[in-house]
Amino acid sequence: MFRKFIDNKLLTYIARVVVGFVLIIASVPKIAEPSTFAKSIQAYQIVPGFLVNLFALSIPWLELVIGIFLIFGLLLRGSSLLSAVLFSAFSVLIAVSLFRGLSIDCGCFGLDGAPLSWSRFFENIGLLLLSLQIFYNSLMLRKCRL
Amino acid sequence: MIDIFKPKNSLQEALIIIVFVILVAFGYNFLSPKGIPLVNQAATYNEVSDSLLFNLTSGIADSASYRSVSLSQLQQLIKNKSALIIDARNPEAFQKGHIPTAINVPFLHMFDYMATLITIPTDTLIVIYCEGVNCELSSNLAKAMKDMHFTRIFIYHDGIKGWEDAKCSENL
Repeated sequence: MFRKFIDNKLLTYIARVVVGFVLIIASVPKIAEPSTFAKSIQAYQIVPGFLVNLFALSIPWLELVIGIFLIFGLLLRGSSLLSAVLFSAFSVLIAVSLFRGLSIDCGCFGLDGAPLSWSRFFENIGLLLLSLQIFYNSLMLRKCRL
Repeated sequence: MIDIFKPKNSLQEALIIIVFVILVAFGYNFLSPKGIPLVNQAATYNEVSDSLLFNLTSGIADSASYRSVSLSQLQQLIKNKSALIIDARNPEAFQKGHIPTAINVPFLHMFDYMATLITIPTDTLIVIYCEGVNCELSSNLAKAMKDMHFTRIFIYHDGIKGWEDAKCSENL
């Protein structure tokens, strides 16, 4: 049953579209307002000051490129792996910040003003699981072709 | 020669994506009018002078950036009960600890606190704070309150972190 769920090609396709769209929607406001996103990163008080702008510049583009690649099936193993890495990092970051009691804006979708919350954490975990499902299937697909 | 474009495993594919992203991101940032410096510069705050702060009876013309009060100025204002201190963090953080006499108006839920805000005279001397220097809630609340015609708004940028650090060093 679980195996069928993991191997399901339709689920993989839906997961690619869902994760891809979420990443694209999340990236656009951050690319448009990099200084605002830099402030959101700073508020987490984890990234060293000199790296904040580098993160603020590269993460949104990484989200956008991964999102497009997932939807169009380009470099699927690499894009799903990076997507899983991103969502793992975001989940850890949100959980740590919540445990530290930080009262900050999530910054997840740019300027949406949504506060950091456990629901955001579970959204990220869901997207992480979908990314892992895509990654697993892209590896299997590759093996079948060889 | 073209082998690099035919990645053999997931890590090679990921590396190609990362290199591509770095080139596009930095190229776009270089060309964009909203581009930011690659290395973050330390924020500087426009601190208000004692004479202006303590003798101020009417509103001040201010720019988009809000003037900052120092720890000693804030302590003086609390001692004299001459300012309304507002904590812009969420209620849970406020309940865990806040600056004495502060009231809580969380920026992220400020519309729920409109009933409180409209009872405050617009010429009240107000000091807003949040988590610390990296927190934007105080500046955002200040902007929103300026739009509500409050005229004497200042920010304590060091926030609760600065306040608690100062309290710890006093106790040493």
